[in-house]
This record gives sequence, structure tokens and C-alpha cells, in this order.
Amino acid sequence: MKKLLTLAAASIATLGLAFNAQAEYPTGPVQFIVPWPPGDFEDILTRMIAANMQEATGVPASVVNRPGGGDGPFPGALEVLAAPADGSVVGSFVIGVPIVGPRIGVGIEEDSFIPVGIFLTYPFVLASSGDSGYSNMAELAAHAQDNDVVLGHFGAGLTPTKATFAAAKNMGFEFADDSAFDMLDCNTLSAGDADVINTTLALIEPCLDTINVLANIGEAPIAKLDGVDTLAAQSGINDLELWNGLFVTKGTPQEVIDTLAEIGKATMMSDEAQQLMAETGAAVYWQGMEESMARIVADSAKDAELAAIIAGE
Amino acid sequence: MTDFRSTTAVSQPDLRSTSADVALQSTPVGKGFKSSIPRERRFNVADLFKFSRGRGDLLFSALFLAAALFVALSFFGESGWADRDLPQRRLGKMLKQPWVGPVIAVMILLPAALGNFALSLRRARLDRRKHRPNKTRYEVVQWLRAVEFVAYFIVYTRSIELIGYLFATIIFAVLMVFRLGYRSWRWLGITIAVSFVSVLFFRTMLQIKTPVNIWLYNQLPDGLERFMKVYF
Amino acid sequence: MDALMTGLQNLLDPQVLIALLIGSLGGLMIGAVPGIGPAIAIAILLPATVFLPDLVSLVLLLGIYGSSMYGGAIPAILINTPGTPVNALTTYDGYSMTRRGEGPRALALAYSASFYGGMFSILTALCALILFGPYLRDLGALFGSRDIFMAAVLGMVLLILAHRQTMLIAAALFGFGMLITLVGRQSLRGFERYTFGIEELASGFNLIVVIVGIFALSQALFLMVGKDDPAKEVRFKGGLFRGLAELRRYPAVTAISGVYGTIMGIIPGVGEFVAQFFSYATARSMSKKPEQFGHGSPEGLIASETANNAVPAAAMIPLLALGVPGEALTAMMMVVFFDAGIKPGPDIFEKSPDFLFSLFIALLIINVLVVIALLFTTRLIARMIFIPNRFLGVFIMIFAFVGVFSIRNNFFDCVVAAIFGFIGYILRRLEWPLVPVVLGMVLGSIMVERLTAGASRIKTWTDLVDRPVSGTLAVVIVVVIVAVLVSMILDHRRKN
Repeated sequence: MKKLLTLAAASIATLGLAFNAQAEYPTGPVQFIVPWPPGDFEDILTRMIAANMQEATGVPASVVNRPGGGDGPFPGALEVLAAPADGSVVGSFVIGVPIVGPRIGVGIEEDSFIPVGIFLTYPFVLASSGDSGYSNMAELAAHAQDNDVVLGHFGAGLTPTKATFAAAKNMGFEFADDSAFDMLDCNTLSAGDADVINTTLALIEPCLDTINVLANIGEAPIAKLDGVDTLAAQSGINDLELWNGLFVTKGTPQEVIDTLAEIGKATMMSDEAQQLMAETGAAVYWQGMEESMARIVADSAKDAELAAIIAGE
Repeated sequence: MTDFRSTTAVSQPDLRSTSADVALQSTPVGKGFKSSIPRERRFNVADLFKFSRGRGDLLFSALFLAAALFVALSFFGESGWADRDLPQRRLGKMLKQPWVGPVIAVMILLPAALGNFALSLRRARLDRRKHRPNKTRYEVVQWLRAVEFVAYFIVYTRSIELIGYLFATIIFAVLMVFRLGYRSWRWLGITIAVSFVSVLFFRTMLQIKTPVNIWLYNQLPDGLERFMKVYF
Repeated sequence: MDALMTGLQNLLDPQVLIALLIGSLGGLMIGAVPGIGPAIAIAILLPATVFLPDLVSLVLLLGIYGSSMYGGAIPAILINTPGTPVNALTTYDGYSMTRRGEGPRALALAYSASFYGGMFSILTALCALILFGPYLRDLGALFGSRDIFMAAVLGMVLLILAHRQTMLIAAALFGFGMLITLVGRQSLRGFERYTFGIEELASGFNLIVVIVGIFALSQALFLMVGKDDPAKEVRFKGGLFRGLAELRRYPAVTAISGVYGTIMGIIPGVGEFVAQFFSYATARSMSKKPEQFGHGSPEGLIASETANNAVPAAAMIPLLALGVPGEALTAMMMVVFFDAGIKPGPDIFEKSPDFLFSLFIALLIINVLVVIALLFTTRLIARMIFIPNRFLGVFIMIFAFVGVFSIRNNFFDCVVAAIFGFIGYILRRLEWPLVPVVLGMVLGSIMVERLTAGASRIKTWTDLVDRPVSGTLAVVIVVVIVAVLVSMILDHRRKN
């Protein structure tokens, strides 16, 4: 009996030692949290990253959707924050999380998250039904003077929404009312829930030929949509973009960040991802940790500018 | 749907009596209708869903009403009513405000709780008039008996942080089974086996998340510590 | 048709097939043991399947969902105890037949009836999918936020009215459930509701945590505080094969019950119990031997088992097409779909048609697998019924922890589950219905969410019902309420 026990103890110890030798990240399953309903770009790309990670490292890697409803990405972000800072839970966040998060008192601070890398710029657009009677911002402005125009967006605190309101202010019109939605797609327009929606190109892809795209929100026009100008160009506001990146909690070891960055970059440069870019108008790239941090600072300033416009200078 | 039949033999409503022939009552369908089925073999399907207020109903209905009143009264402070933005020309601007959801919920909850309490009171008075015994005290004792097990559950969940999922589960299962009276070696064996298999299934195979920072595992040498933390 | 092929292909993956097998057999056993039901099992396994591939976890949970009612018939028939709540009606005729010595006949009838019911609704759903799927998107244009709001309200009304004897209780518990979902902080919109300043409440109550508490933990408590059944060995002789063909002798009952089950499954808020009840009542009124009902009538058995098994597949339809779940188990499946990257809604046929086909084909396979398995393993499963109650309670508690903790990994959720478990325990003792709490959470949150989303379109009250679907639904709601009130008043008068 005693011999058996000693043998058992020895084998467990050896296993343990063997384990010790491979004590590098990732040692356990990794969860990527996407704080939006499934199907959108960040979801697709993050799933690609997770799949590549599973293949490259052998540990199970999965994507979990945690939509926050009218609360946007913050509940999901808080979930990442609450997890241990060891790379087992990684967040796939939009610009709003590091920039707007600290301002709304949910428990996110300026330094709560470290960007692993920014990899996606959403092709955010303003769209309306084909029979709405206006097809660019100027016409919308004119139409809105005498008619009720209702805006649908993903949340008042998010940057594209702010950009839209600031643009409206600059162009001298007002939306009669607005609502936050969990999902804005062809159905939202066809079912009549909103007149103008502030959404990503992928979600309205199926009905692209039957709707009017009024403007796109970003630094440059989208190749796919000819004749559509950026919101910045049409209204005079700055060109703040909505981007998405991988984030880990403050305190995560550098090797975790590096491993994730490696896989992330490889994923973005892959044929699959680049094809996504060509087909959909999204911009897929990889900006490493330092570049991302600088970008966050710059974008913070742009965001403050927009907020000032909305507040009435 | 209504799952007051959802439990096991423990609380068998009288309809489920073994003398099936006489068990089910019947009520006359209406005057002027002559049924050809002999009286004692008729039954009304609605009887299958007969609900009668049992012991403790009045007490719980009262408590429920109290809770509903509490919720309704806190409405003014807790639901965002204080920040209301009224009046609005567009109805929609009102409906978007945070207090609308609670208003709807309270409008359903409060009248229903009141009505339910009234019915419960009426039944209690009827019982008192017919001199049926009031067994509320017995019922409350049954409720308190459950509190013991709730406490065990909380202790179990807390202990996982201390001694890890594997040991906590096996020890908890054995202690509980012992407490419930299964005290033979055979039961001990079965319990340990089943709990071990469950731990294997949930933690080792499916890798469900359990608390990460476990005191007992922290005391182990590094390699073993990691192994235990990942797989158990 | 490509989608059909793709859907089928996706199912033929070995991992998926194993999951199908485990799910079906597991579901069978879970259904057969009185004290655990599919709700508990799904609630517990749901968060645990996060790391499995999507289709695998989906099929596993579907297996449990689709096969538990078969298993539930076994104890209902043999020892007069329903294995799952929806097998309650089966006890009346099934157990009576057992007492006459016709146990195997009853079992065979129950299986074949369930099989028919399941097949009927699955095939109906598949046909609807193939015929109407491509047009679903156009149909989607009719279903805006206000319409879905109305659908949720209709679900609530039907749910409450279905609890004929306990309407006020159902309504009160529904309101309670609705309130529970509203608790929490919405930082982006800058408000807090009912958090009372307690930080833990800021993230609100999670649906699965409440479900595990109010269904699983309460049941565990109920079992542990109660007594064990003195188990009688049930022996039965005779094979089951012959009994299967008996279904042919009652075509009318079978067909009608199948239709009832399917239709009631589609209507949100109704569920298996009411479907069973209506089909049972109808079968009785149509039968040539109504006095046998409740005393061993094969027609009664067929009516209840066909209807209850037709509901799951049918209940998937409003869930997938509108995103409005009609009953508690379906609401949990909604979470599964979400995690698999599927968003229910009118455009689901466009976005993920192969998934839809996989879903229903899987249900088909599950039904077939289960019946085959049952023919050979009934005796074995029948022995499982006798697991002592209190022992079962201990393990339900252990599994409940798994279910609760894997969701948000915090201890507070365990406390919440424990509290709801205690409340659920009291509700069970008082014979108050539990389901309204869950549907209150689900339908209530849909109502508030859709109202808020559609609010910007609403200038005046009429804007709410100014659309074809929401207007019709509003009228239906009023009609139904009036009809029930009238019938209640008439009943009252008749009694006096």
C-alpha cells in the first residue's frame, strides 16, 4: 500500500514538474469577450483570432458575446476587468471603452486596459431607406427642417453617434427623436423603427442596393461606396473613426501581450481577413501596442471636440 | 406551465390518490343537461388543475404584498423617477425614460399582490369559520428546515475558494449524504464515486470556471499547484 | 436546397453525432428521474458548454430538450409520478393502465404518441422553413420593435390567463420577474434602477442564475427536506414492439393532438402544459368512451403525450423568427443560440439557413434515436426512477453550483441563486406556479427593450398600434381578455 502511495505521489510530482517546464502563456483556456451581439465585424475577426490561437497553442479559445443592450460594450468590458490579469480573458473593444468608459463612472479608469493592438476600423455609415427623399447630408438637413427625422444608433455615448449629433448641430438641423438599439440592420429601416440609422456597412449589406447611404464616418471614403462622402467632409466635424482592438487588463504580463499580438497580427494579415476588408469596406490592419496607445490619446482629444460641439460650444 | 405538479411523491395532491375510481370529483355541467355517465365516474378536466390555498398561504401572500409595497414605494427614489424629464410633447421621449419599465412592472405586481392577498384572506377566514386547523406554524417550520440546507450550499460555495473544487465537492457531498441519513459504507462509496466523476466531467473535461485563487493549491509546490488549478 | 445539404453535412461531424447521442440518452435519463427536469439540466450545462464547438453544445442541449419528455413518461406511467412537469397528465391514464397490468402497452403508446407529435411538428416546421423561409425577410418588414413589443404583451396575457385558477398569483409573479430584470445600472444611459446603492446589484440579475435558483435549487431543497419514496420494484413483462403499432387505431386523436401541440407551441406564452390540457379536453369530448378518461383511456394517453412532444419544435418558430421565446425552456435555448453566434430574428433565414436546417434535422434524429433506444433500454431506465430523493437533492445542489458560477464567476450570483432557491422552495410548497417568474424576466425584458427602441417613433399613443401587426395583436389581446372574463363571469353565475 505504502509503495503504491509513494509511486502515485512521485508520478503526480513528475507530472507537475513537466507542467512547470511549459509554464508559458497560455496555460489554460482563453476567452475572448465581444460585448456585442454576434455577427458583426469585430465578432468575425475575433473568432478568427480565437481559432488561430487554438490552432497555434492547442488550448481551447472561444469567443463569448456579451451584448449590453442599451448599455453598449460596458457590461462586457467590466466582465473582462473583473477577470484575473493573466490573459485568460481578453476583450475585443471599440474605441468607446478606453475613451468614454472612464468618464461615465462604471469602474473603468483611463489605465484599466492595455491595448494589445487595434485591428479594425468599422465602415460606419449613415443610411436611410431608398424612398426617404434624401441621399446625402445636405439633403437630409433640408428635409429635417420641416419633417420629423428619427435616428437609430447603438448608444448615445458611442463615438459615431456623437459624430452624427455634432454633424447635425454643425449643419443646423435636429433629429426629432432618437433611440438606442441592440441591432441596426435592413430590418430596422424596412420595419420603420427609424428613418436614419447609424450602423456598419456589413449589417446593411443585404439591402445595399435599396437604401441610401448618406455618409460614412471615418478618415476616407469607402471604395465600395462611390458617390458617398465622409461625414467629416460634408459637415465640417473632425474625422474620428470607430475602431476595434484587443485589450487586456492592466497588470497583464508583457509576454501575454506579445503572444496575443503575434497571433493577432498574423490573423489580420491572413488572406481571409484581407478578403473581408476587400468585400466589406472595413479596414483590417494591425497597430501594435505603442501605436495604439498613441492613437487612443489623439482620439480622446477628437472625442472631446465632438462633445463640445454637441453641448453648444 | 403551471408546475405545481412538478414535484415528486413528497407532496401528492389528493387527486393523485390510489383509488383512482373515486378520486376525481365532478361538477354538474349545467342545468338541463342530462349526462349518461354515472355520477361517480364523471370528472371535470378542470379538476386536474384544482388549486387550493394550503398552509402558509396567507403568511406568504402577506409577505409578498409587503415586498410589493416596498418596491412600489421605493419607486420614487430608485427607478430614475427623480431624474424624470416631463412633460414631453412626443410620447416617445417619455417612454424612453428609465422609470417606464418599473412603472409597468409595478402596475402589474401591486394590484395582483393585493388581489391575491385579499383572496388568501378570504380563504383563511373561511377556514377559520369551518374550524379547519391553522397549520401555519408547521409550514414555517418546514421553511426554516430548508434554511439549513441553504446555509450548507453557501458554505460549500465559499469553501471552494479555500480547498478547491475537487475536495470541496467530495467533502460536501459526503457530509450532506451523511446528514441526510445514508450512513453505510456502500453509500459513502457511491457518493465519492459520483462526486469524483462529476468533478472530472465539469472541471477537467468541460473546464468550467471555478474560483482561481485557491488557498490550498497555493500551498502546493509550483508544478503541482498549476496542475491542480487547471484540471481540478 | 444547398442550405439543407449544408445543414445535414454539418451534423455528420463525429463530435456532433456523439453529442447527439449523449444528449438524447442523457435527456432520456434526466427526464426519467422525477426531481430533475430538462430545465435544470439545460440551465446547468449551458454555461458549461462554452468551450465546446457551437453545434456540438447546441445539439447536446437540444437532445436533452427533445428527449426528456419521453423519459418523463416512464415514471408517470409506472409509478404515478411525472418525470418532468409536462408529463403530469400522463399519470392519470398511464398509471391506471399499469394498475390493470398494461404497463408495457401504456409505455409503447406513450412513446409512439410522443414520436408522432415530435415528428409532426418538426416536419411542419421544416416545410414552413422551406416554403416560407425565403420570404421571411419580407415578413420581417412587418415586425418592427412596436410589433414585437405587442407580441411579448400577448405572451404575457396568454400566460396569465392560462393559469385559470391562479391568475392573480401568476400575474404577481410575472410582475416580480419583470422587476428583477430591470434591476441594475445602465451606465451608458446614466441611470440606476433599484440598486439601493448596493454595488453587487449594479450588474443586475442574470436569467440563468435565477432559473437555476428557482428551478434547480428549490427542487433540491424540496427533495432534501422531504422524504424518500419507499421504492417499489416495478416489474413488467412483455415487449414494447407490439404496442407501437397500436397508435394506428386512433388516427383522429393523434392527428388532432399533434396539430394542437404544434399550434400552441407557436403561440408565445402557452407552452406544453396548456397544449396538453386542450388536446386532452378535446379528445375527451370527441371520444366515444369519455368515461374512460382518467381511468386508463388510451386516447387520453395519446392526446397528452402527442401534444406535449409537439411543442418543443414548434416553440422554436417564434423564437427563431421573431426572437420572442414562448416558454421557459425555449428562452434558455435562445441563450444557446446567442452563444453560437446566431441572432434570432426575421433575417435569420438569410443569414444562417443551414443552422436552421441543422437544428430541425437534429431534432428529427433525436426523436428517432430516442425511440430506438427506449425499445431496448426501458427496463434499465425504469430502475433509475428509484434514485432516492434526498440523495438526488444533494447532487442537484452540486450541479447547481456549476451552472451558477460558470456564468459570471462571482460569489454574489451563488447567493442570489440560493435566495431564489429558497423562494422557489416556498412557492413549490404553496403550489404556486414557478414559470411566470422566468417568463416575467424574459418577456418583461423584451417588452421594455422593444418599447425603448421603438419609442422614438411614438409621438402619440396611437402610434403604438398604428401598424398592421401590432394593431392586430392589440385587438387579439383585448378579445382574449374579454372572452376569458366573460367565461369566468358565466362560470361564477352558473355555480350560484
